[in-house]
Amino acid sequence: MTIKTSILAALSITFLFSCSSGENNSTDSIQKRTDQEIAEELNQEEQNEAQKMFYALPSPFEISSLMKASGVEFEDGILNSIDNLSNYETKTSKALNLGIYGADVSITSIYDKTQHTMLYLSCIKKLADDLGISSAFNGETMTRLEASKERKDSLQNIVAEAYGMANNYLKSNASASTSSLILAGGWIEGVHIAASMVDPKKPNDDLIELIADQRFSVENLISLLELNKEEADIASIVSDLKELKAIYDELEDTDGHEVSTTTNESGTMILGGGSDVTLDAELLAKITAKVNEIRTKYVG
Amino acid sequence: MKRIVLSASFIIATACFSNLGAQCKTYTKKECMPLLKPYIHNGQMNNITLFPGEDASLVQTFYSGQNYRIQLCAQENLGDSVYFKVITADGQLVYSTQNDDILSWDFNIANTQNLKITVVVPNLVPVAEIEQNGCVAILVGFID
Repeated sequence: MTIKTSILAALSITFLFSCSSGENNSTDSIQKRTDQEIAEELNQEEQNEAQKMFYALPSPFEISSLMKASGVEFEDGILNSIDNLSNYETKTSKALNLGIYGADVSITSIYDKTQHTMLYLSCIKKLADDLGISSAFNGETMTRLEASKERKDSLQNIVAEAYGMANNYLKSNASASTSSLILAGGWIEGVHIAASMVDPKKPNDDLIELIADQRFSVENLISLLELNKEEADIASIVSDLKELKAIYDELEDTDGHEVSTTTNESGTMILGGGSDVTLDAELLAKITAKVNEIRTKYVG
Repeated sequence: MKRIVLSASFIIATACFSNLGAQCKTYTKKECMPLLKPYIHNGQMNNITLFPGEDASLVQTFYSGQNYRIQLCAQENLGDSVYFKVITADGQLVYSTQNDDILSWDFNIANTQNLKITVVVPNLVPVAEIEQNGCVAILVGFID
């Protein structure tokens, strides 16, 4: 946007100069050429930007932490059953469900469900083995987790660390499409879990806000996946996510905030800006239904 | 200035510089991750090898009400002028560590938004000297 603004400013200055020069023919000619050059430059800049721009998604661990902070409880039944593990036979389904089980293990560890955490980690390890990326989940991690069963903080930290190391390993050793599929699976499961935890009779505002905030991530995820959109499986997932984004686009900004930085009493800087949105029950139901539709397709 | 954008995947960079990438991973884990404490690492190991004169950016969503730490680490051979800046989605600069000894920023977000974090390695090396690349890592931690 900055580039666009600069170029628009340059166009304005050029236009003003041409008006005052009094050399209409020659300046028109220069103006046209300049406009074209600038348009080409803008186009090239945008193309370059599109080719270079990548996005990071929030980790399932962070999303799970926000869910717990909202004060809601979750039921085991909303997670992907470990019984489904044997159903995943294709590379795509294995990668997607590696991400899905990754989100599940994040939330079980945050909610101190040690037994579930161990079971889901076993599922992750099996899928990682099948995908040839087993080193991402090494035996040392499992051993440390076993040893940390009674220490809740330790369990969370080990899972967070394991996620980071696995993520780093995947960046270096898995194909781009496999990494993207894992990220997509993890994100969709995170939204599914959040949406499933909403009690329609007593909606939790923090949880609703978290679901609304995923409007940023769905956009980032689409951008990330589109880098590999020539692959049929990825293209299909992009299509699913674009349908979900279309629903998110129905969210209306109710209040835009000026970007500002202030410091609170404890000395922490607070960054203002962004905008508020209101996610009403009707739109929440549409998002939930679409997420469930997509997730059911992936989980099988 | 050549611009390289960090990604969640860092696919291209790691493919081109696999050995350097391995060193960079080790550097990030050993030297940078401990600096995030007491914040919890969000799991994204954002690291890349840069030459002086290059910069790299990462776009990430930050959630309202969360406390965050952005931590920059750069290997010594890149000099002590490496910095990062934080820019909003509409291009407004909100924070920079340029000319600052502290390479981290602790902050809270009032409203969820996407922010772009750009790491800059200034080209301050005399032309006669051989350019040396080095690892930079940008980590994000959060705390309730």
